[in-house]
Amino acid sequence: MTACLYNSLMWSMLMSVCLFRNTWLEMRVNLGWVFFGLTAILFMLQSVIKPLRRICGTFTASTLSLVISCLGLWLMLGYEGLKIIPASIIREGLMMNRISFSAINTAMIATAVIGWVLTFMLRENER
Amino acid sequence: MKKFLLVIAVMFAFVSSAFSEELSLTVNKEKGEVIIPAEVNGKYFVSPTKHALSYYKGGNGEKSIMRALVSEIDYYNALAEIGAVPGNNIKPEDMKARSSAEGKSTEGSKLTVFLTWEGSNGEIPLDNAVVSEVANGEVRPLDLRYTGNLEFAKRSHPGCFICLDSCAAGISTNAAWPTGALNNREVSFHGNSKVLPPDGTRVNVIVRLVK
Repeated sequence: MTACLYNSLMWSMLMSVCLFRNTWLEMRVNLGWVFFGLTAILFMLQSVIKPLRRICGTFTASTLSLVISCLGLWLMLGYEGLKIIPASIIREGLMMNRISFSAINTAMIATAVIGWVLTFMLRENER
Repeated sequence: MKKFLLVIAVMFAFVSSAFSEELSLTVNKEKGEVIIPAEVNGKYFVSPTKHALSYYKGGNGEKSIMRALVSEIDYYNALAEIGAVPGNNIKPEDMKARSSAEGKSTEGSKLTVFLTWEGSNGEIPLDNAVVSEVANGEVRPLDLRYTGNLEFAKRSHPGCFICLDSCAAGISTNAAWPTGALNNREVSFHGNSKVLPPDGTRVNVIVRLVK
């Protein structure tokens, strides 16, 4: 389950940033809500559909999710965008516009690292 | 359990107070000047937007280079108070123009806009704080007007104070770019991170009526 949640977070961020690049959509939609909504939907799908869970709920899948998401975000946003856009999506979703980008970035990096370590530590229990 | 609920209540109160700061406009009739308290939104240093300033509680509050901490209706009334006359010539159907050649430019009293913040070293023209990326390279200085759009603002509550093109939603909008220019990707705008202070900095947006 940890791996499924981890994958959902990674994929949702990648998808939200893809949507963010469409200016028309970005100007009209709260993409933070889209991020949280996508996370919930993807997590439910992986939890409910057993074959999907068997494939995605592994440490290897989480590692792939982490690598592909980070690479995708970097290619789409570049270094400057990477420091601002994912954090701004989360901030908009939380509707807390006074949280600094650096605080959100710290939380995101911590989630990515701790989550990845957790999926490794819990991999046997989840089989 | 009670302690837990108390902690949650205190946290909620703290968070609410941190995000509900409502200030007031300063209106100086003699100078023909309105000062709007606002904050910088660093998101639009790297991403395009057509909004220079929007009310943080409005629909476009988080879609703007700066978020105003007062309502756009107060701004409309303040401009009327200093003697500005609204153009009211841009309608929602004008926003469907496919290019600036088909579009319409806003009318209304001409305005100039400056920014100040702690350490700004004087008034900074809004023109310097906004980067225009123009397809044909012909950069146009901002020509801000008191567009009006009070009915739309009341009905749809977009929160728009200053739009960077001619617009049917903003109280003041830019006559330099007619409606349709953005649809046709003739121009795009973003905040100038080399001029503006960092994300979250409190700024004063000074709007003056050109007499």
